[in-house]
Amino acid sequence: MLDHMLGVIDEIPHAGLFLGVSLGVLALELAALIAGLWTRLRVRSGKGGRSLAGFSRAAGLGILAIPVVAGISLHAARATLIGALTATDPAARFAGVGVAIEAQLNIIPMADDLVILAVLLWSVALALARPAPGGTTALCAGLVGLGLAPLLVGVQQWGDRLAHAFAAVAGVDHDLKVTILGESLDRSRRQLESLAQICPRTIAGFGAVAVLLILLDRRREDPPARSGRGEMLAAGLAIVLAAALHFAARPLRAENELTRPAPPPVEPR
Amino acid sequence: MTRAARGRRILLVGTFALLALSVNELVLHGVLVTDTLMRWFLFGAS
Repeated sequence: MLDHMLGVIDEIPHAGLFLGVSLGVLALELAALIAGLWTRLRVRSGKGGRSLAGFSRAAGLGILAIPVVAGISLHAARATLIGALTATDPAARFAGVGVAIEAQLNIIPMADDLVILAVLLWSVALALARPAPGGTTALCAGLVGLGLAPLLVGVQQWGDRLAHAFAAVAGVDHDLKVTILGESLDRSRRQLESLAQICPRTIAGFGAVAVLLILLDRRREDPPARSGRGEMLAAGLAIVLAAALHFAARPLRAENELTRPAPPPVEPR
Repeated sequence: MTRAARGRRILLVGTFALLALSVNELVLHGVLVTDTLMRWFLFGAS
C-alpha cells in the first residue's frame, strides 16, 4: 500500500498534508497498540495499567483526521475538475479533467484503505487494553463503528472498479469508451448504494450486541462512585458531531440530485 | 453495575449509532459527487 501511495502521491492535491497526517495517524495507532500490549503485561503481572489503557482508547479519535485531510484533497481535486470543464481549449479540458478524475480515484480508495488499517490497529490496541478497568466508551464506539464495514468495502470496490475501467479504455474509440465507462459508473454506483443501504442494519445489529454486552456486564462499577460524566460528555459530543455531519451531507446530496446544464460537447481525442 | 450506569452506557451506544448513520450518509454522498461529476463530463446533463 505504501508503494502505491508513494507512486501516485504526486497526482494528489495537498499530497504532503495527506501523506503526513495519514502516516502520523498510523504511527499513533501503532503507539496505541504498543501501549495496549504494555497495559496487558502490567495487568497480568499485577502492577495495574490504567494510564496507558486510556491512551490506547483515546487514540481512536485520531482516525478522524484521515477523512478530514482526504476531504481537503478531494475538494481541491473537484475544484480543478470544475475549472477544467469550463476551459474552452479541448486539450486543456481533457488534461485537466483527466488529472482531477485520477486524483479523486486515488484519494478515495487510499483514504478508505488507511482508515481500515488504522481501525484494525486501534481494535487490536483496544482488545489488548481491555483487561484494565473502564473502556466502555471506546468499546461501544468500536462495536458500533463495525457497522460501517459494508460502506468501507463498497467505497473500496467502487474505486477499484472505476480505476480498472479507466485503465481498460485507454486507446479505445471515443463512443465505445463512453459506453464502457457509463456501464462501469452505473454498476459501481449501484453496488456502492446497495452496500451503504445495508449499513443502517449492520449499525443497529452491532449496536444491539453492544447493548447486550452492557446488560450482561456483571462487574462492579469501576472506579467506585463513578459519576459517568465522561460518558455523558461523549454522548453529547456524538450527537453534536452527528448533526454537523448530517448538515454537511445535505449540499452533497443536493449536488448528486442536481440536473446541471450540459458542459461544452466532448470532442473525441 | 447500577441501573443508572447501564442507562448511560446504552444511551452512549444510541448516540454512537446516530453518529455512524451520519458518517454513512456523508461518505456515500461525498463519494457520489465524484460519480456525478464524471457523468456530467461524459454524458452532459446528469
